[in-house]
Amino acid sequence: MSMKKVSLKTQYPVDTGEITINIVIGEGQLGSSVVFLDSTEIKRGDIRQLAIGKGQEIKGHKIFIKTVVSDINDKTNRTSVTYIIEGGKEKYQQTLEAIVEENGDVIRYYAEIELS
Amino acid sequence: MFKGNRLYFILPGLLFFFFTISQTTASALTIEDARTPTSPAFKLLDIAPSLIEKPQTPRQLGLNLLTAYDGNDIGIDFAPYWFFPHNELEFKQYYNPDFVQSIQQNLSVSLISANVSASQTTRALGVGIKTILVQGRPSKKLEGIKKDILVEQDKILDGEGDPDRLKELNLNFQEESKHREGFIVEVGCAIANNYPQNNWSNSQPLKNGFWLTPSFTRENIDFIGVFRRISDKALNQNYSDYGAKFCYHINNLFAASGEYLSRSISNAGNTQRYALILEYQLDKDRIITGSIGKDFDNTSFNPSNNPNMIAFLGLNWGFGDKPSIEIKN
Repeated sequence: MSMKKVSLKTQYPVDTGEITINIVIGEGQLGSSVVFLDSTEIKRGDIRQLAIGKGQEIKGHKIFIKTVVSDINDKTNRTSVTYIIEGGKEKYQQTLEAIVEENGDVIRYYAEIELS
Repeated sequence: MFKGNRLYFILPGLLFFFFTISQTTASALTIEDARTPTSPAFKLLDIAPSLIEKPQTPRQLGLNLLTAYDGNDIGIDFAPYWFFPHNELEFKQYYNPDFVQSIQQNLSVSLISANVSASQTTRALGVGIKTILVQGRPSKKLEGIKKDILVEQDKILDGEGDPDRLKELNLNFQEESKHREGFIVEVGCAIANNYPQNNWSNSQPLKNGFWLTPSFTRENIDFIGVFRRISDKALNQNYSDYGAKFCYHINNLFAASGEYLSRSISNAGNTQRYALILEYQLDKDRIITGSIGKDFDNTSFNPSNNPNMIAFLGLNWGFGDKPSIEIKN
């Protein structure tokens, strides 16, 4: 089985506050994520209100997020991942969506966020 | 030696019992018949459409409806909630929904269009809805599969893991998620009209129906209650059925159940059916079933004038009615 891949690359302007990340796996599907600050793993599993660090301390660094979503909902073949970043100059929210080709397939989501 | 001798007595006895006591009156109506159907509109017309579509999007539904009126029977069954994306609906909320969420995520609509006269001049149109008011809880087995999926996902995040193994687990999860435990309440209703000469202005009420099915499932206990009311406008009669079935799985091989079903027809009185059923699993394919009780009385419910005694002992070879026992791995 080949896994479809969906990617996001963006910038997030930080401020002086604490930067936090939320990842919402939608459509009632089951997913798991791992978050890196540059090459350091910060957390894996369910990502909620994950504090990355103070804006000025992590400015110029990059956040990498890998998420795997399984199609375990027999009512839909849609999958989605919503990235919510707060604590910077403004709230950032972006949803990526993908539809599995066959029941039970897996989608890989990648996000690369540059903290500017 | 003694065991062998004993077998000589038991086998003829069982055969005698099987051939002489297996007088059963096969009722047309069972508890399963009265539970909320998957597609209430199809059930109301008692027609299995030659073409059943399950559109996944509003656009697909529109296209299917456009092609429905080609003179053939067609049935469409769709879940409006899943026509649209739900990026905010997380796993936990979907598998443990509150009352409102349960209604909307389980709502299905069935539409049917069928010719009901031999001359193809009368069309019946029906619409029905079904949903689940209380959805119970996921089974323990499902929790186990979920943990296995998370472990496999974790491996794939690290560039390891087996995508095929993960897909297999995902499909297992989908299958097992259909078997929920705890208290579950299903409800459905449908209405159908006749259109003689295929003319909209000739609309005649045909039937309407309402179903309510509460059930409770725990490790070794199954309970199901049924209530169904069908109003047949063409015959000017109302049918009401209510009843319950309780099943206790004593162990993996032995189950005992009792059921009660009452039926009443307007202007024709009412009658009841009750039975005690014992099932013993001999091996993977064979189940010994014994039942005793009373069937519907000799009234218009039982027009073939069968006796109302239920007394049956037989061997189920894995076809026909679904037994209460399931071999567990």
